[in-house]
Parts: sequence; C-alpha cells; structure tokens
Amino acid sequence: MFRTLRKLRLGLLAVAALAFAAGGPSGDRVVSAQGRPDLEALNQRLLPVFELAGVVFTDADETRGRVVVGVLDRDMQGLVRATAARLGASAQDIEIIETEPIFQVATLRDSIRPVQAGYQIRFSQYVCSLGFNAIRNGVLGFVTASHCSTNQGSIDGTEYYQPLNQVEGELIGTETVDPPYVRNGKGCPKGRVCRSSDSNFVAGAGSGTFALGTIARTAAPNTGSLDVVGTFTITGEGAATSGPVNKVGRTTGWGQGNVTRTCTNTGVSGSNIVLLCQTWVENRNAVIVQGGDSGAPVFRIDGGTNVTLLGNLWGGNSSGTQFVYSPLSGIEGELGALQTQ
Amino acid sequence: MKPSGRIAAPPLFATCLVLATAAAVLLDGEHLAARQPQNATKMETHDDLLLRVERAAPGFGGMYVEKDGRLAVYLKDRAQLPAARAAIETVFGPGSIPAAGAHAVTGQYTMSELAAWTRRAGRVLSLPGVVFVDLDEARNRVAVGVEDDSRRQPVQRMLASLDIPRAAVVVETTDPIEPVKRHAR
Repeated sequence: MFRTLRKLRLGLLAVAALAFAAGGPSGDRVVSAQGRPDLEALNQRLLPVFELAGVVFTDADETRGRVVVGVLDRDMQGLVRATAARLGASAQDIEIIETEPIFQVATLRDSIRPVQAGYQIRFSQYVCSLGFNAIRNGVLGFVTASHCSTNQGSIDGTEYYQPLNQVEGELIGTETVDPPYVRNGKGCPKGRVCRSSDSNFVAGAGSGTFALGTIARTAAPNTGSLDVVGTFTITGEGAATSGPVNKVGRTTGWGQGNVTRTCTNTGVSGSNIVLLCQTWVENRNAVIVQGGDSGAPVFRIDGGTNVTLLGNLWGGNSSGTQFVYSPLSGIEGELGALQTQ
Repeated sequence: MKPSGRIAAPPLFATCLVLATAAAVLLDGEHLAARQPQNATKMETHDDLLLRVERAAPGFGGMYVEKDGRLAVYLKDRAQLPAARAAIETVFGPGSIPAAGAHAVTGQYTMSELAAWTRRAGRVLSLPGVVFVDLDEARNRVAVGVEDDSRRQPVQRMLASLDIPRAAVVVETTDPIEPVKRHAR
C-alpha cells in the first residue's frame, strides 16, 4: 500500500512537472508568482472541484502564481471555472490544463478480477502464483502447483484466495483435481513416488471470475518489478526445447532464461518425489525464481505480447538462477485436456 | 536431454551458451511442437523427436548449435550427414537447419542407446542427493546431476550394476531443486 501511494504521489508530481513544462512559464509569470502566500490556502479552498468528474489534480504552482487544475477534457473548463468562482477564486487565480488520468499501480500481489495468470494466490498459510486459467471438463478454473495445496497429491478441497485474505470476498476456487504421486510406475525409481507434473486443477468459486488466455505482464523481464503494466495473450500451447522462455510469478515477477534441459527426471529436494520429464531453465545473471513463484505460468514469446503457453513452474535452486517447470504434455496427461484460451 | 551447453565437454559448450541458445531458436523443435494439436497428452517429447531422426538416419546421436551458429550433428558415420539433415528437416520442420548450416561430429552412441541407458539410469534417483537424470543429446551422453561430490561414488557403483557403460555417463554436481512456495506471513 505504501509503495502504491508513493507511486501515486510520484505520478502526480510527474504530471505537475509535465504540466509546468507544457505551459512554458513566461518571465512575467515567474515574477508575478513571487510573494503569493495565499496560494496554498487557495488550493485548499478549491478542493471541492474534485467533486466534478474528470478533475485529476490541483496544484499550488508557485512559479505561475496560480492554482493549476488538471482535467481529463478541456471541455470541462467552463464547469471548473464556475465552480472555482463559487469557491472564491478569480479567473486569474487558476489555470486549467488537460492531462491524462492517473491510475494506481497494481502489482502481482494485488487483487485482480477477472483473475489472471501470474498473480498471487493464497492457500492455507502459504502463497503461490496462479499458473493459468483453464476449462476442464466444462468447469472454469485454474491450474497451479500441486504442492501449493494442503495435501500434495490428493483432492482435499483446498480453498484458494486472491490475493491474500482468507475471507469470502477473496475466495476464487477449490481444488478438484490433484492426482496421487505413485510408486513403481513407469520410470519411477525404487523407493520414490512420481508424477509427470507438479500441477493441480482448481474449480472456480466465490468471487472468482477468470480471464482465459491472459497472463499478467510487467514492464520488462528480469527487473524484479511486480508492477503490472498489461497482459500477455496466450495464442497457443507448445513445448520448448531450447531458447529463451519466460515466467511471471508473484515474488520475482517476469523472469526470463534459457532452456538448459528438457525431459529431465528431477528429484525434488527434501522429499521422496521424482518428477518425470521436466524442463530446466537458467539465467546466470538474474534471480528468476524465489519462494512464492510456484505455480507460475511458463511461456514463450512469439511476437509482441502473443505467447505460447509451455507449462507451470514448481521449483528452483536456492540462488534463484534456475527454475524447473512441468511441460503442458505432463500436466494435461495427468489433469486431462485443458482449454487455455 | 540438453539442447544447449551449460557443460564443460565438449569444451566449446561452456563458452557458447548464449549464442547457442539464441541460435537454437532456429532449431525449430519448439515451433514444431507449438503446431501440434492442443491435446497435449499426445505431444511427443524432444527425445521422441530425436529418436525419429535416428530411425531415418541410423547412427544419429543428438545435436546442438555451435558458437558459430552451425548445427553440430552427432553421427557414428559422418557420411550420414545428408540423410541426417533431411531427417531433421522432416521431423523438426522446414528451416530447422540454421542458416549457418550443419556439420557432422563423430558420436560414440546412438539416440536409442542413450535413451535406453537413460531409462535404466533413472534408478539412481533412488539414491540420496541425486538431482536429475537426463538424456543429454548435446553431449552424446547420459547426464546425472548430484548435489555434491560425495554422491558420485554410489552413483557410479549403481550405474555399473545397471550395465551402463561408464564412458556413456557424465556425472556432474548441481544445485538441488526445491519447491518454491512461500509462507503467507
């Protein structure tokens, strides 16, 4: 929240600065601006102009010796001036400029409806990332990591909240599919339990509405930024064998690295689980995964913001330079066919 | 399998990771896979595709992209390169050979041999401290990752008991892979 407010404040300052630059202060104005001790009081008196829809900001502009009022549309000028006059301001006291609206900056840990891939989700006492929205057997919901459920590998009715609070208003779904990890299956080493994906399916519920085919997007990869600036659009499903791939998760945001191993049987540290045929991704120069990124969507960028969905992230090394994800082939092999766009 | 070089042998790999991965986009396996039907349960793995190449080009043992952008193709008989090129284009799609071209590298093992040994070597994952088992087609080897050097010996012993040629396996140390959920508070 503090971060958001700070950004908002900075945004307002930036707008004010731009407004100043656009106006091109004249020497006369600067001279006349000096010595107006009443300017801030006037600004305060004009606060009711915010009751007019479309007023973006007011600023006691010392350099101009006026209160600058930012509006979305110049056509509002008459209305603003009339209101200002009613509040005791003369025509010379205010200057009206057109400006763009200021939005609060949303992050991957904020609430989002319809629910999008890459955002923070909460279950029990843990947070993870939403993998991707999907329709399974006619049921709309989403996929995340199997270990992001109360009992990994069993259907236990784990409830998911977005973004954080375990209250009815934030409930978005309940786990309905989480196949067991099996012993003695094909390719599973003795004494271990195996699956081909660390994934489950959560049926949408409560306040959850789901945008199929969208993944939250931050401004650039490997910056650690969690500020959402738009979306990626899933235009296909596929498998990566090489080259750069991406993920968006609630802890490290948009991370990008290169595929270093495919179809690799991977032992999960601290458990007796082996995940079969997983894909490894590495970036030696950036932290691309940390705790809380589990479940995150993994995708390849095809052009612009169009992407091919590849799977969901579940693990990484402790330094955060490598992540491992379950390819879609393994996910759909275990959860069943999924419509993702 | 390992499509790009994070590894020491052949030595060229260690230095060509960035170029190799960038150039590997040309090696259009991923794009081919993307064109497959949405029913992903029927998707072939990259290993499956490489085995298909071997069926058309006997002696094929994997491939990788060199620092100079050329595709290096492991073959027991280097004279099989034209057949391998054709097979790669058939399986991975037109344009899958980089513009810089392809050349043959003498391989010691075929894909099918490596695939069989990789399946068998999977049993070492029952040993503590083993992180992965991978058919590493960029090295023409089976790769086994262990958390630290103390794990090598038990791994080597088990591999020997599984009748896998020692020279066909590369054992390397790597970071353990942990699930990445986080406590909410």
